Amino acid sequence: MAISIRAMTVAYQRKPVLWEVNLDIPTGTLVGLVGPNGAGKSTLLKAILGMVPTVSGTVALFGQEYRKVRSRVAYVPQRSSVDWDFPATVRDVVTMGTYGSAGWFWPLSKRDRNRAHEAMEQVGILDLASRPINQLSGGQQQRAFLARALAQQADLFLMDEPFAAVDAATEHAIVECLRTLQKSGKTILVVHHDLHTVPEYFDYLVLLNVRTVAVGPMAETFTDENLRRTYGGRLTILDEVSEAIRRREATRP
Amino acid sequence: MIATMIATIIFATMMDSIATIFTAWFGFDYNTRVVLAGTALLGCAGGAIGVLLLLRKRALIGDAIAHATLPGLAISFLIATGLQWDGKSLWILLPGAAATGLLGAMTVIAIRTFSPIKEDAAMGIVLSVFFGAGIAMMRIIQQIPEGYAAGLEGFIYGKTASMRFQDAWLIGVCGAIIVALLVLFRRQIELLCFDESLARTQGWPVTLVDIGLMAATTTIVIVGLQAVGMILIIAMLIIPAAAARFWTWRFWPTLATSSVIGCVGASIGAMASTMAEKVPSGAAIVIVLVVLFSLSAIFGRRNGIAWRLARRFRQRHETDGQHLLRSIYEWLEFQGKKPQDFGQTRSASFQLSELEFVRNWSPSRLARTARRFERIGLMVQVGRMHWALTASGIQQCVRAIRQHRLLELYFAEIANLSPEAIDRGADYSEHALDDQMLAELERDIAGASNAYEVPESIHPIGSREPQVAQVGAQLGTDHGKFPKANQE
Amino acid sequence: MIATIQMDFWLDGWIIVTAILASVSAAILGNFLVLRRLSLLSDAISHSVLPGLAAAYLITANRYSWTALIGAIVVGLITVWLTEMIGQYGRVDEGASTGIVFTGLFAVGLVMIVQAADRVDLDPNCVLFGDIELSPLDSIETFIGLVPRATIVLTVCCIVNALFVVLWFRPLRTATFDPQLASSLGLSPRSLHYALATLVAVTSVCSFEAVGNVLVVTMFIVPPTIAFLLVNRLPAMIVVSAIVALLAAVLGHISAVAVPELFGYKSTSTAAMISVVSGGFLAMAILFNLKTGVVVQALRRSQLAWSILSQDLLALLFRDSERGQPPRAIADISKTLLSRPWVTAMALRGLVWQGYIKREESSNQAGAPAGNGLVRYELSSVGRRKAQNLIRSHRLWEQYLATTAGAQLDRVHAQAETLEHFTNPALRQQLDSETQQPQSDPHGKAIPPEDSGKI
Repeated sequence: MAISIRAMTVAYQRKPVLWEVNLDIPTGTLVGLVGPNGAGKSTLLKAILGMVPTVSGTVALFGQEYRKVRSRVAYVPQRSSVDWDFPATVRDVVTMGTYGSAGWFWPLSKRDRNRAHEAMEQVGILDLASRPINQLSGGQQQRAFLARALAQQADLFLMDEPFAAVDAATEHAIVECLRTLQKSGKTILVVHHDLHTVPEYFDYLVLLNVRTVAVGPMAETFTDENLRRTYGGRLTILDEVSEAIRRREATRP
Repeated sequence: MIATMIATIIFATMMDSIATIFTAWFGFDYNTRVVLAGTALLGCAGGAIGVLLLLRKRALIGDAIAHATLPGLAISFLIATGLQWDGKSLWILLPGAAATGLLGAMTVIAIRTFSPIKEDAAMGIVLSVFFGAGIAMMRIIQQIPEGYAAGLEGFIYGKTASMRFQDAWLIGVCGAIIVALLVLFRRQIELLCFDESLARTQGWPVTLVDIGLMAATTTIVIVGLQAVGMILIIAMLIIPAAAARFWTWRFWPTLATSSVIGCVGASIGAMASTMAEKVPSGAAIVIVLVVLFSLSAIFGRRNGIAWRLARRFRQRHETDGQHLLRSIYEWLEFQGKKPQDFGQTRSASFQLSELEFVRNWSPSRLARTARRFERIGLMVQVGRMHWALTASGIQQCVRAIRQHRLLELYFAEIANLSPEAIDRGADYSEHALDDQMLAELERDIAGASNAYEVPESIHPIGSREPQVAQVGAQLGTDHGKFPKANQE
Repeated sequence: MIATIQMDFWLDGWIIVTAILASVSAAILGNFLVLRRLSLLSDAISHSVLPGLAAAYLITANRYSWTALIGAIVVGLITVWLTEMIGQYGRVDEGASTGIVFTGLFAVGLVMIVQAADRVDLDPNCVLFGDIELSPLDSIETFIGLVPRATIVLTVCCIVNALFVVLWFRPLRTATFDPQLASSLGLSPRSLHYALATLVAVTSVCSFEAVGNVLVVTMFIVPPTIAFLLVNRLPAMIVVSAIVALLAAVLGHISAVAVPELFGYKSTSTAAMISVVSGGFLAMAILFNLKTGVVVQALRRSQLAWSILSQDLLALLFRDSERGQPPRAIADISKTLLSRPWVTAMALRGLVWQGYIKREESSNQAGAPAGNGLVRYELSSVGRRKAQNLIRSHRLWEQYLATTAGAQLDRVHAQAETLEHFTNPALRQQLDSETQQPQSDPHGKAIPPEDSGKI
């Protein structure tokens, strides 16, 4: 199991943000983490990484404590968590991903530099390597973040809304990249906001609304009943129609 | 009890200080009294405006404005002296100070608008560069014969002693006008501070009020330069407002509290500065304000540390009491001697050591809670080691257990939690339940007919390790209806 | 002019060196404060160290002592800690809690200084702007001769700051840019925060004599801000901030001596003038920096507008000659191109000067005095070529938009109007092939062939 969470509760001033969350994510899956606003999705990622205090619960990553496997986990936060006016180039940002293994003080080895290079190539921003980050579009920023995570050469990727406000081409590119990662055995947990693309992008699903409503492979878990229970029983008309269409498409030869 | 004692002591001290102040007041000459009155009014207005600044999150722009006044003072002085006017007159100095102060505020905005420089850096830049320009000019002024006696440094650190009557009068008038304006436009201000978007859609000119706020801040800064000095005037705006937040969170009471704190702080500080030697008035006022702030932080009714600790204590007591009651019930229920809350005057007896739930409590904690129950009449000792619940004890007990079990049912049925989680969840939330929520819960789950019965527990009693299979079977039956309670 | 300034080489030399060291030490650290939006922390800490300094001074009667240093460190940490506490428990925002802490501590320090003023030679003015001018008077004998104590202290401080920034560069950069990444990589951004605050306090104490508490804030904030505007990478930013600080220090001292003399006064405070000079540098940077400078952007915009207008003029003349229209008056041209007559006239003159058009005066009335007739503009061969390619771009775009991009027919003209100015030959080639070498645009007008100027 890549991620194993038991009875995790996170509360903010007595108001529960995560409640008795139990979760098992198998290694090598591309997981979508979905739920309404304020459902605790970002908090779940942060709780796994020990960034927020928990009331109770345990987390095991690859069977061990996070502290022990820190170098195997890469976190891609929301784009807005960073000030993009910072004076750095794309290469600088991507190279930050190698600091975990390169160390904080020694000069970068050729191997580390290559890692950054390959990462940028994999997401398709190699030609932007020397560009200052304040000149990047939203999609390019997201790719830079992804490249940074790749440069960490982690086994587990936790990504917070990587497709938010990103153009279609970038979205496809990122999904392709994630699929390649998954094929090579990595585990990726992605907080996603768009229900329509969830069944298409991911093969494992976590439905979260303060508590885990359902967890499992996509086909079994992405059901009307579960969605209703997650979103409080009121999918919008639009969602229902597109669900109906999707189901019809799925059954067509 | 202890809280009352502390409150009495504080009150007495305050009364004592106020008495001292009053006696000292009449020992002062007329001029000093006027100066003090002016300063007090300044503190009042400063406190009020400070609340608005805090709410609009513009606290430190006052600092930038204050430091930016220095070049204005210097330039006015130089021009006036050059024209053979009285360079020291406030009527000349203050407009100059106001001009550069406002220029400073506008520069901050301009820097933010025309460059990628962030707001905090912009304020720091304006603050230090304008101040530097002022200092450079001041050193030149000091070389002028008139300049040396001008005492312009008084504006930097505050020097109420050199305040003249007209100056104090000016301060008082400005302060009074600002307070009057606040009272006059109270509806608009309230709306704008609370719900800016609503105000905008209703057509209120939000930017105009922001400008007005800046103007009022500048005025306070200008007139306060004499009393407190430009380095510390920001304290008079921020500290009373921050202190007031420990007492209340409603808008007008905050404003009022802040004014009072500002007024008291300013008066005491100014007085201390006058009475003691070599104490700059600005520093004195700020120190007094910080003391008042600390007192508010500790004893403030709303958020003060003392009250928070007291609340936590009380909560712990309550929680402990609830847990004890519940474990008594469950123990008796397990034995088949459930306490009935209609008619029973004395429950079956039990030993404290038999109670499971509280098994991991320390003996002193158990004894303390038991004694408390005895004191308030919920339990009586019926043997050397045996206790029993009284009638009122039974009532409380049944209430507590019903609440807990209702919550457990709620979590099981509606929130769909695992059995292990239910008890933890109920523990966590039941103390947050109030009567209204309880009634709703009962309505949702219980149904009217069984309103007074205690539902059966979801777990098997007598062992805290719930067997999953058993619980699953129990949950499978009769959703929404009470399982019939097993009578003995 | 330099000769008339009264400067003593030894005295002023040391003052300048000290000023440089103070400015550069602060500027180096300031980079990280500015980038983390903690500029006002430098303000807060430099005010808060006053009581510690005063206490140390009262105890040891010496401005530079280990007591002062330790006091500074302690106070720096307390300031940060208190600010966090008050912000958390008082539910006030960071600016407000900073304000409470530093004004309180500063007030205490002030009282201490004033109370002990007769016992101790520490003047409140010194607090504000230091008295670097007197620093050479307190010198100690070293292996290179008499060196002011302040200079020695500041040299050490500068070296320490530089070492900190260089050795901890990666942690600092990561923690400043993305604290979450930093902590997930095993760093503690909080410890770095406290370390930075400590060094800020130490620098404030060391610069106390040179620039005083209030003006050291300028050095923490302004040179890094200038560097931020000028360069795009952090190492460069740090170096540039140091250089700017150095220049400001030198120029500051010189102007502190020179400028008052112009008006017949003796010199003014060096620290204050360093502040003013750096403010001046900043103003210039805001206006003229190549990335975002106000003046630079305005110039670029008007240059672009000018070039577009010129191109439009050429295109207009081309179309006129296509349709066989008579020459137009400037007023008429201006109205068509939506510009002002005088701007049009200037653009025409520019085009004439560049050789794209020829200016001909023709009187249409026999006997009328010269200068009263219509002025006619005609495209030169070079101009004709340029205009032709422009029209080609325009019509190719119209064709592309209408057929391949599916734009509405009544909108293609307006869109092509914009796009034509940014189309080079390669792009025209692409458009041509995308639309299968069209002969005419959607409005039926012939698309002129590419004129590359080759005979």
